[in-house]
Amino acid sequence: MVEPLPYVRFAPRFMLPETLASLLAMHDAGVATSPFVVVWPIAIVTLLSLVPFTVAGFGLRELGVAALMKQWYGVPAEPAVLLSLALGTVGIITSVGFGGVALLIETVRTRRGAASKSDHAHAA
Amino acid sequence: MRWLPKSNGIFFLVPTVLGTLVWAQFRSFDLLDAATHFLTYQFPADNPDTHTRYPLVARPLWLLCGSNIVAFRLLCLALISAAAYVFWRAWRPVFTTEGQSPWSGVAIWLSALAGIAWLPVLLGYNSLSTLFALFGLAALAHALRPTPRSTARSVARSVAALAFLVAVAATALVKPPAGLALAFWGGFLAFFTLPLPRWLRLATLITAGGLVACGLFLFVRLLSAPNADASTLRYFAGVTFSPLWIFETFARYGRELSAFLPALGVDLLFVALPSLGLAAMLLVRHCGRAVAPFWAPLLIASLFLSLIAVVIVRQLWDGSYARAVSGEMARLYLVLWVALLPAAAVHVWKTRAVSPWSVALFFLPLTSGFGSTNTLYFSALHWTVFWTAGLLLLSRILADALGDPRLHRLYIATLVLAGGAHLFSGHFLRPYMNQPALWRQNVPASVGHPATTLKLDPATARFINDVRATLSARGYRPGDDVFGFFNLPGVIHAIGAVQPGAPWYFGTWYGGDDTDGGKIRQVPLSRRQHAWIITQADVTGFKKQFHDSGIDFPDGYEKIGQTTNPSTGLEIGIWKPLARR
Repeated sequence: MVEPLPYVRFAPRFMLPETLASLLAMHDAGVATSPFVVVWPIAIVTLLSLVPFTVAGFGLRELGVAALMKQWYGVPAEPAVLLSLALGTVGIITSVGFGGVALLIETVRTRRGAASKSDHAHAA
Repeated sequence: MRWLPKSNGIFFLVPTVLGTLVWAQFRSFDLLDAATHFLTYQFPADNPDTHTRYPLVARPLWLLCGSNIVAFRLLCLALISAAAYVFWRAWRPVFTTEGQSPWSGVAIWLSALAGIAWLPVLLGYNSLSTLFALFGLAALAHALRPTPRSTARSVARSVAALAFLVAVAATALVKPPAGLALAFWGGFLAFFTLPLPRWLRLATLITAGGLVACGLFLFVRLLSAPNADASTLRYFAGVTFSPLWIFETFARYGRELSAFLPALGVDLLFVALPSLGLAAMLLVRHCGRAVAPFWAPLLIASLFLSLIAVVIVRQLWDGSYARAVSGEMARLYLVLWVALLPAAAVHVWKTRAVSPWSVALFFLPLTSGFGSTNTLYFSALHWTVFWTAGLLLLSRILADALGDPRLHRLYIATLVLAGGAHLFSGHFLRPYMNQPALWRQNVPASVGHPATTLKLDPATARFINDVRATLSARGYRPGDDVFGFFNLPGVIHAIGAVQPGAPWYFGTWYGGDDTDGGKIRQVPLSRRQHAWIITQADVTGFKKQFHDSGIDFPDGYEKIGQTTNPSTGLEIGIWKPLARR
């Protein structure tokens, strides 16, 4: 039996660091376009990559970002692919590094809480 | 004697298949890929640019067989058969806890053989990766088996886990993307199969995700480095990574899928009704309602008939090289998977239970060839044995859910027939690269040095004998250097020659690319100047490129004979260097 992990609950808390990291990634990838104009292709491709077609959306995201950024803003494929890879890295860091750790802390706390309740019950 | 099959059919089938396979190994000789492998094993110094490090494993075995092609082929078949048997024995408890039909083992064996025999039978990077993956997954299945805790069991489990890691390393050595795929899906299976506490699952996920993120971060940093030399990463499989390569690879996969999926869609129309019917029946059963007893046999029988129809009408039975390229061979397995998908979706929805083995065994072949210049479905055909195993498991789960074991038996029968048909068509009827059927290859010819006598089709046998006789009449001796310009590794190996610099010159000059020239220039000048030359088609137009590579062709050579290559229909010229006079 495999239970889906409730990452979704934690997502809103990490939107700000993810956005900032995305801007840094864009700078790092050498995409010389205003950050505001690339929001749309990235948003569309991020939504598309939620469809579980490839592992963590890799491949689909690279192809989509490169195609849309070339079509709409004339950005060459190389920096667009780099940007997409950087965004994938940021996505993993935020979901695993922040969301995962938060979930782990919650799980450990719940476990301790359950253990202490059990101790109290035994003591009573 | 528990290992002996309990079915008379198997007693008849297995020796028959083995006997015909042994008969087949004395026939046919592929003039391109197989010869390239043999030249690589025989003269490793003249192949500095192999795709992988697989010759490190294969060459000792080649030499152990005395460089005999038949012995090497038989060794390959024996090793794959042994690996398939070990895999089946170890994996069987995952599959079922009660009396399992030995025919499922036959399905595994036939598909393992079919997966290697539509190509030239030898220990290359594809067959070696199949071999290691079969042993590796057998070890993993053993390690993940739920049994009562005991010290002996813990030791056995640790040894099995270690064996899996060794198999992953060996697979990565011979075929890097296959090794990565095996490691990933092995980790996936361990993660979802072992009874870990929730906190440990999360900690494992965080660690794995952190490692992937670190790897990706380094990868992106290296690719985006301003220094041009550092902006591309070369890895030992010979692929140059760059953002453009990544983009073009994904774009190519997109194009290939858009060409492949419509054909698969037509195939699926054949099985859509019974497949959806089975899903509906399962849904009704899960809702606690009674189903009329005739529905299950009716739906299973119509699924079987529709599978037979699609296999015949759409020629999915054909496992030859041409059908592997055009996708029919892979489509057969994908039709079998998708036919179960609606029922599997209902089962997962209602029980919330996913079988990790089914998921891993479906994706493992598809991810094993990432980065290859071949299509994903073509690369997956080397590992169809894992598709067969996954289908056996999934059909068993759904048959249990439906309460009718005939669904599982139908899949066993279909997979045995599929494996048999692919093996027959890919190995006997249309051997690799459109050779004549094996029973039409009856003329003995000596191939290689030391020589192996193989039975070939009359035209190929005459061709090889002609080239060797022409050269021998003018002083050629086996072991001499001979250049084959271009696409002539088979002729070079057949006459027992050494090709300086590379086992296969592809003719990159036709496309304005000097890769061939680079390989030639790495050869010491005296070897270049004294090597015999065999040409295919007129290559005298490349006089400048030959001169730039230190070869005075055609002026410094005497044409001593010509013939025709029966497999290409092109004229073959045989040239002796004047420096040899």
